[in-house]
Amino acid sequence: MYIIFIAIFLAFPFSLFKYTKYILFLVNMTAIGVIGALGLNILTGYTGLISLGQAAFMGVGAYTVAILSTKVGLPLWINLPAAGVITTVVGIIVGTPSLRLKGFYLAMATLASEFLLEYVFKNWESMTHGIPGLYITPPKVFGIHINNDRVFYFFAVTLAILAVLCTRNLFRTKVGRAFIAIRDRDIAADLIGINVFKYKLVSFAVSSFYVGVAGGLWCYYMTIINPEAFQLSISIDYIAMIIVGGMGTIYGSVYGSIFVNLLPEAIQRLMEILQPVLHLEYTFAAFKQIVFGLIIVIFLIFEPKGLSEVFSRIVKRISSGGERR
Amino acid sequence: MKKCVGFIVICLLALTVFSANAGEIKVGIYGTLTGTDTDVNGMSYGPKDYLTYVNEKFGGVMGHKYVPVLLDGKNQIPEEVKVFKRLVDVENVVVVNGWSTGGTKALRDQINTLVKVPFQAQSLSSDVLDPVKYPYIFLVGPTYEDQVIIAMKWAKQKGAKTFAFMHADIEYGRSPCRNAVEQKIPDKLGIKVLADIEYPGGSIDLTPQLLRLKDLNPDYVYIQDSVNNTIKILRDAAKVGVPAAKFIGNCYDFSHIIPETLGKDAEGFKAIQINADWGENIPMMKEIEEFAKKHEIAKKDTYYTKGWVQGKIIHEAVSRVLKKTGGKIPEISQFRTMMRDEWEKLENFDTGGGTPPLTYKDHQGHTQARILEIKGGKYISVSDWIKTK
Repeated sequence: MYIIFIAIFLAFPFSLFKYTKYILFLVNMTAIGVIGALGLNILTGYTGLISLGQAAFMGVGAYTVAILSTKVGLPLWINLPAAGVITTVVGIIVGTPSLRLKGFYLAMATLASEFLLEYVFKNWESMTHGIPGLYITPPKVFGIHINNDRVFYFFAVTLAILAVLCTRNLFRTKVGRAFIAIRDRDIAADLIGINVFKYKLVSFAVSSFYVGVAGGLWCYYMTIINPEAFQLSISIDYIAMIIVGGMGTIYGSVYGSIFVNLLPEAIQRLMEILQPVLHLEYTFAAFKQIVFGLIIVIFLIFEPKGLSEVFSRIVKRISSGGERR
Repeated sequence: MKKCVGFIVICLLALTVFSANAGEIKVGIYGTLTGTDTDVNGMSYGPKDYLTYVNEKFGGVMGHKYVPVLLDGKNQIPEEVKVFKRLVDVENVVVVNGWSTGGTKALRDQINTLVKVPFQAQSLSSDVLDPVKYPYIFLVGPTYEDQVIIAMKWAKQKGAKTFAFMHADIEYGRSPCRNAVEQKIPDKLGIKVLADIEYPGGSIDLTPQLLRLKDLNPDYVYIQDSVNNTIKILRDAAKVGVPAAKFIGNCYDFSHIIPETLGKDAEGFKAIQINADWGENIPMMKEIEEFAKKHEIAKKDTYYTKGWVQGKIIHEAVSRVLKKTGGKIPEISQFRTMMRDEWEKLENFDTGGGTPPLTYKDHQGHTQARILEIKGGKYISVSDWIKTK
């Protein structure tokens, strides 16, 4: 089973006889999305802490990579972990109000961090180069230049798989179970001896590490970063990913990232094909947005537990020979 | 039922796969169709319509039909990068007409070294204008910094001694104003810049910024922003008692929406014109009118006419390539390189009055602009065409 999986992973970028760059771009963006969504899912889905600072945390990771690459000249294998570590520190600072705040109030506190960090990106010019941002040259790993979609695929997808495996293992440990206990009922968790504040901060730290790495990867892939790239809408996209994929499930982050990254493409293609019949002309682009929004709303009404629940149900039905209970 | 759905899916896939036929010249366009700054997106519809016009009027170019592919970049860098990859990789376009300054900067390596595709930038940032470093990027008209020079030169003639800048906290806003100061443009013209006032791009109310401006009382204020925010500036300026006559906007502020929305509060506002307006008595407009008889025009404004000019440039470069090959469409990478070379050779290219004649040796086309002023609800020219170079 694992051999087949590895074979598919290795052969995939070479099996594309057409549209290679475009398809690999979508796959790479999805892989980055998976890492970021896993981070948010650890915090929101597993620990029950709502965060609207996802975009800003990604920005911290991206700027760390860009600054270390351009100003210090460090290699990728130092920069990427550093992106995670620096974002972890920022995450712990931002997570401190979670001692007293939860729910919407915590969401507001993280939203404040979004604006604060955006301000820093824009105005700490000696480091971030302000509004024009920073431009980095594609890095080298073991002498291989990561300047095309195919090489980046191996790099990003491997990291995404690693992130999934690490997250899966995390929830087999005491720490992961403490997160779940806090999410389910923090008072009860406190009563059974879990240090709620400590584990909330640990959750912020772990989550921020993932998000920082995702931001660093994003920076390496885009080769340019500026404050415009880390707006609130990115945070909303990530929240959509984990809700649609399935809160509190590891594969939900994967499905959510695929859904949010690929559904607009699918709608775009379908609309283009239907264009001669629909005659939408100038309202076409807006119509696409409406369809995307509508699909998400319909999805949430009929399947609020997300795609992971849908897939697990399908798998159960297949394994039980298609019998309905 | 399942068979029926399967058949439809196969048909749809087949349509996608076989959509590119031989004899078609695909032209990629991306703009902001649903993102911010949609008030100036006529620039993206213009080239699409012009190429459709050439197809209908002349049967295409040397027997080959244009297939313009217009996509939405939403004025966001990742989205623009994605759309660019689709255009050059899936659609195999021969040229790309792209949008934002940030997106163009993000793509500059791909445009010039990896893909090598001619790129017609809607951005007028001097940061992407360099025929040696970026041999595949072409602009149409004076850069934002050139426009600052043009505004200051005009203001100087009117006796201005002090200036202020206003712009949003985005690259399009901040960079040109800062570049102008760093290049000592105001100093060379003997003008003192009193302030560089920045505001959040999505601000609803700009009263605090305008109160500060009122205190400083500069002779003129240069707005490096587009229609939507400029309307807010002029609205709040009227509220705090700063006359619209003090403000000069860049080329993306020449919009009839401004006097229509603000009425008397826009009287005296000035904007920079770098290409013909909608409805001007020029040969190019006759073409647009002819096209409009059969088609709906998305945006009837100066940005649409700019886009129409861009369509003309693309058509001219493609025609020259095909003349060289005897009407045969070259292999795509060769086509792109040849098109770039022919584009660069354009000299005094007549756009039918849409712009001054265009010369592309320097990848800029032209460097002329003039100042317009709103008088009686209409834009009236208050200067001759001013050149920066």
